[in-house]
Amino acid sequence: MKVAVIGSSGFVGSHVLRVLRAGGDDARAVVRNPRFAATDENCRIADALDVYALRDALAGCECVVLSVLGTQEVILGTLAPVYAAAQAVGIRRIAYISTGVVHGQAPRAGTVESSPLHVRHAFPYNNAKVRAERKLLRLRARGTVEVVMLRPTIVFGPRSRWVDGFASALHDGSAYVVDGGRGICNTIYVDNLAHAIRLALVAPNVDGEAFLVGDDETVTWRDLWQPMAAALAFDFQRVPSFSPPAVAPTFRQLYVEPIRTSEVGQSIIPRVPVHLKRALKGTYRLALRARRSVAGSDRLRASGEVVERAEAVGPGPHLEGPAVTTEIVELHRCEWKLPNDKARRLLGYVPPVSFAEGVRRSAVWLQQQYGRPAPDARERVAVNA
Amino acid sequence: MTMPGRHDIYDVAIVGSGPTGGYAAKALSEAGLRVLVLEAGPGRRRRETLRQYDDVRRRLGYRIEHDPRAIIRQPVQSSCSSWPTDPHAFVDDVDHPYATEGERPFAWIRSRHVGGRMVVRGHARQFYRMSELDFTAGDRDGASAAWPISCADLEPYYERIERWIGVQGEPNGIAHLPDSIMAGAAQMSPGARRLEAAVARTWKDRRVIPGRTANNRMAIADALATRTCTLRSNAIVTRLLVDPNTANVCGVSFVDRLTRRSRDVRARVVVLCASSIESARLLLASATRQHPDGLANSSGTLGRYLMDHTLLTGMVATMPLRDDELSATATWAYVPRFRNVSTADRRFVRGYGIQVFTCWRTCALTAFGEMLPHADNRVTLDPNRTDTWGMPIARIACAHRDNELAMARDEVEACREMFRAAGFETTRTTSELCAPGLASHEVGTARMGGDSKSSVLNGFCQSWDARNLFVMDGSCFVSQGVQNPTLTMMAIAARSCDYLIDSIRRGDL
Repeated sequence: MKVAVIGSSGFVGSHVLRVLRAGGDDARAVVRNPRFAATDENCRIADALDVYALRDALAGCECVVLSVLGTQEVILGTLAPVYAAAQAVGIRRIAYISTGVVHGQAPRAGTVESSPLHVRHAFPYNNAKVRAERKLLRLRARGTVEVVMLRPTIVFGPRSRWVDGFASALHDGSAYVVDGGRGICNTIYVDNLAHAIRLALVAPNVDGEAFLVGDDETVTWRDLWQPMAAALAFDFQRVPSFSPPAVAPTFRQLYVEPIRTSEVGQSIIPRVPVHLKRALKGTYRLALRARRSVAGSDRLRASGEVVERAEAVGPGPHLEGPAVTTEIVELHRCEWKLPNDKARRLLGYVPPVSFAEGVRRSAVWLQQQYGRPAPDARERVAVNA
Repeated sequence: MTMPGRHDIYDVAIVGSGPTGGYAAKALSEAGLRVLVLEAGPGRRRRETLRQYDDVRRRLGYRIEHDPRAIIRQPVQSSCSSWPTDPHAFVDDVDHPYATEGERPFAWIRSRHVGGRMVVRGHARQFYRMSELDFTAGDRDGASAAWPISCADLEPYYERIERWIGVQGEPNGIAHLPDSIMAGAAQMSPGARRLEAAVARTWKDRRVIPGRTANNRMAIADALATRTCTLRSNAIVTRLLVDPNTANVCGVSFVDRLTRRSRDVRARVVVLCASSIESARLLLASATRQHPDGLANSSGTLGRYLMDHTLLTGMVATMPLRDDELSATATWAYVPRFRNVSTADRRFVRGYGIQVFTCWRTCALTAFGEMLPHADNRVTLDPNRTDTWGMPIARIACAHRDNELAMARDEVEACREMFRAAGFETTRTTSELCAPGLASHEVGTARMGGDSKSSVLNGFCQSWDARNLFVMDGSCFVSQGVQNPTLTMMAIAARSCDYLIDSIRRGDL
């Protein structure tokens, strides 16, 4: 099968490319950066916003895997060009890598694929992905290229932000867990995701469907991170644990973000002159500062921003302590294992790599990357704890 | 618009109102002949309305190139870079099907409307003369047949056309890209000037010159002003009528696009200007007892030797320009052919020219390479399928062969080293040619020649088999050179029209 992987210089894209090629598929990398192309024989350069470059890049392929990461504008802006290019060159099916967080970082118990989606999430990324799924289905209604959407949540493996990011956080002392890492972590080892993608490209009668995909095992954040910490000779027990209070949504989250991220807002904002935007932002910040100084406390709790900072500060340049963000708190507070049932039923999805094996491979990769940890780094965790 | 009457006999019936058909109509009607022009597409008013509609939609944010439903209707036409800004200028592929051979794609880009491709918005309209180097290429390397005309024969006609359209450019004194009569000077963008300086520093045989462009001018408007020319739009010509006694043509049969009614019109002379592939298809579809293999096909070469410039697009770089050098105006520069000009290249014969597009910080190079005429690159009729109007569809077999592929490898390298020399940062590269047809420079399906055994037309685009049949579009090309063909097509048409007028005046036709 001839497959083009758009976004194959990214973490998921590169693994998908590797797994597809290992499985005997003729997988073509489609990337934006010409420097990446130099290292790969079967590679085309195309910006995923440029429909004509994409048409050249996708020509001759049968299926497309769309795995583009970026801002809200990129997530939504790439869909129409990719779909139109796929339509023009006769692509049969597009597998779109959506995300499980379309149901929220901590989905309610009982959440399945058919649970209703909304765009009132506190995090713009979630809303953008919900809109992206809806937009793809609208495009599908106008075209003939089939669409299958996959919703993985915590994709881990070598080079993943959940592995590499955690390791570097351990090293610079900013690592932390919430409530001791007891929350459910909806993991999927990246090879399992690649396997699911391959199935999504070939399975019959799945046009327009979305699939939650994950590892079979129900695991916690501790299960994921404890072996990583151990591989780098850190003591997981000493990683600081927080139990932040339930976060009240801010004014900005409640009123500003929904307007800013709405389709109307997104169509108006680019037309507002830059100077006016700067002036408005400046005024808003001033007003905020004035309000904060009156209130005497830091109430800014917008998406991804700091809600609590560890008090313990040790020596060294980076040692501000962990910055706890609402997004991570939400993820760690998850109490529902998203089910694989639909993927199992319609795609025939059975994860080829067990969670334990995935963790082992990631840990081995970490050891190769970081080698033996420096003694002072171990000290650092101890200080922070 | 006056409807042609049932019993009218026109002096000349012209099929197609594009650059050559329009110019032939202008030349012939200005000579006092009664001319009927049959155009398959909509009339000017409808075309203008649709253009406005497309314009408004685009301004409101609609992007047709992102709309799958539009692409389903125009899968082939949408591959043309001018399509998004002027989609209604192109045909609907569902209603206008054609077949290709197996795995060999051919993108048949067609615009059916008054004025033809010349007036499609977004068309760069570049005009370069062919030189003696191009007309005698076959004599030197044997890769193509000999032209029955020389560059000197065409020179006065080149001048006539250039004066009429008003070419903007500058005289560059290049022997193999003769200077045109310029109506105004052309400016190179600061980015193109950087490239020019770098190319001049690095290579002796390469140059960057300002592109030679012109505004669109509709010859058909001049023809209609004479009041001896009648334009019939929505007239899809399905066959040429042949007089059973003389074996000459005596008129054309067309179907009205809107009412689907069939009509015949009589004419003393028929001039085909329907585009290379369409003209060949019409002649093949007009086979009769006297012309069993297709009209004007006693040589068996009709439909053969189809050529289209090899097209290499997708070489894009970012130019390191200062803010005060930036310009949002798209400008064209040109790198004239530099291979096989004074020295012979061992890897391939003929050469290629590179068009340099600059806008803001973007610089894109597009190479147009000469395709050799090959008997098996041809147009035939599909025996099993007909289009919406009951006419057999064209089957196009066209492939790039070793010479084109060897040249393409050199084009890629040449573009890359030019970017390197100029210090531009490459943002996109490619190493593959576009499918044939995408250059929209297709020529050569009814080539001219010195004898009736090996060619369809004589040096005046007149059929050897039917003396009152002329084919004045790109079909008559023997080899194509690297230059954009419209200027040469129009010059050949102007020369043929002079001959036609003389013949009518002498009473030969």
